[in-house]
This record gives sequence, C-alpha cells and structure tokens, in this order.
Amino acid sequence: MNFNHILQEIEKADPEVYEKVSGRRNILKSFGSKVALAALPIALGSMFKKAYGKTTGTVISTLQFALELEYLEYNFYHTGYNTGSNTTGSLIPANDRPGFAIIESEEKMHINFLRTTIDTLGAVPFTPNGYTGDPITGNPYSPASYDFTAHGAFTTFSNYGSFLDLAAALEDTGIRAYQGQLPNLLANTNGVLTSAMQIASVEGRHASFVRLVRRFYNTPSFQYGNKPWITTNFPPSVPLQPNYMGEDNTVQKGVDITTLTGFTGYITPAAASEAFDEPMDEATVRSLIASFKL
Amino acid sequence: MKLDLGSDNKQIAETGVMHDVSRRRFLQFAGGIAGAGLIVSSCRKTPPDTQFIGRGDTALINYLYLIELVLTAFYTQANNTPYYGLTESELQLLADMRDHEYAHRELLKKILGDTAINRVVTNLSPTTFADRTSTLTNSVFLEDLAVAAYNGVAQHFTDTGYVLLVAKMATVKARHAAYSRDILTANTPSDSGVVNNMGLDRAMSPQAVMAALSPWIETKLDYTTLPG
Repeated sequence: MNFNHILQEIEKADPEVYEKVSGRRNILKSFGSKVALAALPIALGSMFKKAYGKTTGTVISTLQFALELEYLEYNFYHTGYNTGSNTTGSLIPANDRPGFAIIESEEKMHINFLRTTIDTLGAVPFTPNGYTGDPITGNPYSPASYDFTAHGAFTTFSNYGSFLDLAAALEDTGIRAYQGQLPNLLANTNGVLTSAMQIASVEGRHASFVRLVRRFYNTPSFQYGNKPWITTNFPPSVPLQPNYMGEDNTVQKGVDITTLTGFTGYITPAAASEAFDEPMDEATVRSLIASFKL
Repeated sequence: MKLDLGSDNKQIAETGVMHDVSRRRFLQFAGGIAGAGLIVSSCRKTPPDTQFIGRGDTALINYLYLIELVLTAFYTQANNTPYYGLTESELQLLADMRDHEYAHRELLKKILGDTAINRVVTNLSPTTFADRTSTLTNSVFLEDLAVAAYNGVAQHFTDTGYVLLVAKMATVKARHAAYSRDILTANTPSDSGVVNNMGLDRAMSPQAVMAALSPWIETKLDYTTLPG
C-alpha cells in the first residue's frame, strides 16, 4: 500500500485537509512505525472522522440547511396570508386565518432560533438568494427569493385548494428533511439534536392543521389520503407525488409493522405507514424545493 | 419520583444495607438522594409487586412502551364507548389514532422481547369517555405529553439507531395532538403552553413525564434508572 500516494490524492482533493487534522508530518509520524499494517484502515478511519466527521462543521451546515427550509416556509405562509384583502377576498378565508397566523409566527421563530444557534456556533447564518432585508431586525420576508408557482406550474396564490396542497407538502417534506438530518446531530452539540426534534414536532402540528383544513375544503371530505397523517405515499395532488416517495414504508427497526397484531387482526399497511413519518435525504429535499427558488 | 416500597419493609432489611433503619427514616433518606445507585440496587429485589423497568436503553424503551400502553388503553376505550356528538370524520380519525398507538406499542414490545414490562394496569379514570370535551382534553394532554417524552428521550439512547425511530413516532404524536386540539378549539394547532417563544415544542425528562403520567398507571413501577 502506497500510503504517501493516498495522502497526496487527499491533498489534491482538499488542500485544507492538514488544517482539519494535525499536519501531514504528524499523520506520517503516527502511522510511520507504530501502526501495524492491519490497524491502518482503522487509523485512517479515525483520521477522516476527525477531518470530515460529525464535527461542528457538519452541525453548522445541517442547521444552515434547516434555516434555508424555514425561510422557504415562512415566505410561503407570509405571502399566502397577505394575498387578497377584505374587499377583494383574501386567499385564506377568515375561518382559517388564525391557525395560519400561528404557523407563520412559529416559522419565523424557527428562523430566529436557528440563526441564533448558528451564530453561537461561530458561523454566519444563511440568508436566501436575493435577500434585501435586515436579518438583525428579524424580518425574514424575501419576495425576490421565491416563486411558489414554480414558474406557473402551480396556482398557489390564486387558488386556495392549491395553496393548501402545497402547504401540506411543504410541511410533510419539512418533517422528513429534519428527520433525514438527525444522523448529523447525534452528538447533541449545544443540544441541537433535541432542538431539531422540538422543531420537527412543531412542523408535525402544522402539517396536521393544514391537512385537517384540506379535509374539509375538499370533497368528498374523507377520501383516501385526506387525513392529518400521511396514508401510504398518497400526495395532496399528483404533481407533489415525489415529496411522498418512501412514505409507504412499513418496516421499522427491521420489524414489518403489518405482521404485528392491532386492535382487529394485523395492523394494516395504511395504519402502519401513517404511524411513522419517514426521513428524506438533503439532496432529494433540495431537488424538490429547487423549482420554488429564484 | 415514585418510590413505592410497598408494605413489606422486611425486604429492605434483606439487602443488608438498611437493616437498622426504620422504614420512615429510609423514606426520608431515599427522598434526599433520589436516583442514586444505592437506592436502585436496594429496591431491586424489594417489593415483589413492583416491576423494574430495566437499565440503559431497555429502561428507555420500556418507558416509551408504558406511554403507549396508556395511549392504546385510552383510545381503545374512546372507540368502544365513543363520546356523544361524534361526527363521521371524528369516528374515522379516532380509530386511526387507536391503530397508530397499537403500531407503536406492538413495535416497542417486539423490540423489548423478554425485557418488556408486563401486567401493567392502566387507570383511565381521569377521563369521562361519554363526554366530548373530557375525551378530547385528555387526548390532547396525553399526546402533548407523548411529544414531549419522545423529544426528550432521544438524547439519552446509547444505541443511536433508536433516535430516528423515536423521531418518526414523535412527529406522528404531534399530528395527533394538533388534530385533537383543533377539533376541541378551532385554529389551535399549538399554544404557548406547548410551543415556546422560540418555536420549540416541549422536551421533557423521563422522570418529569413519569410524574405527569402517574395518575394513569396503577401498577407499581421502579423507574429510578430513568434520567431525571
């Protein structure tokens, strides 16, 4: 094994690698004579973990991703809430406005919380592309950053049903995004694992609210998939199907939930899927939100 | 903290630690150093009718299993004797919530295998199931508590493979909580009692959750191994 060659390759790929560990000389010294060949893979593994593992850098980038999603959600609700007027008719009807006001305010709190946490960890918090506001004064509204019609593909702010469909998908996907990021936060640095769960469950409340509004807005009201929870991978509307891929999973910790006994007979695939939300990786989430970003 | 030693203080003497201390003195002593390892080991063989929930991850899973035992008992009763004024929509979703709790309970039971606590007797008397407000208020209480329990327990697992599992369940509890809140009082997916001014849901310690849950459980349990 040409160990020097491996190090050269790493150096090419990442010139800063030695700042991330403890200098090339030290690496070579520690490997030079003391490390038995059989132990080398393990030693290499720990070196990479030190440089690229679940360090503060990973925690920060994870929080930045979460912050980006919260900006997206806030701007979606803020725009929807302020579309139309009492005289022209508002997009969100009077009966539902108090609930959406709570959701909008909680998304704003999430932005502020994540900004503060990222700042505490020593990084500059994310701001959306084209953001012209003042993050210090706390106004996260950034109309130049988003197009929630996805260039005309959705009638998001001209049709309440479309708004509700996208709201449900954004909340459900937000939950999945947080759950997909938990492996990066297991060290619970500054309590961020617990915080991420505390935010995700608030998104769960939002999803439930939006879905319950949809349940009574749509007819027939109780059609398949029109519940506060996600039934199999059933989407609010066909174009939002990609947001729900994998939600029909029924195997948890190696146990197929449909082999377990429920109240009457085995637990059904529908109940088994509803009872667990499913994580989604960052790349997939990014691909799903890309068409809403400018 | 619940430290029920039962009536048999001779069992305490058998441990060889407390033989010349009266039960009253022992209880004072126990109260003062609640959670210490000494008490844990003293209790272990003590009251024959008290169940020990285990240590480490086993204790944590048994703790969540207990919550699910209460939730399944609650929703089974709520479905068997539904409240007056139940709508078609509410009937469907009440059955759904019961079925989700069964899925959670049976999965945890399967994971625990032989280490699962058994013969747990729940106490549903806090609820008047014929009454809509009572049923929904208690549904909200239990679901909000479950959210706080799942959020608070994740950080304590030694096997981090459980973290994602409890997260997947926590958000479904949150969906339940918001739903029951909303049909009880429209437009309230949350309030300041459960979501603070930073937009964070509650995360409660296992000991705090057990204290809140104690009216719902008849069986004597030794859960001193749970984090405070």
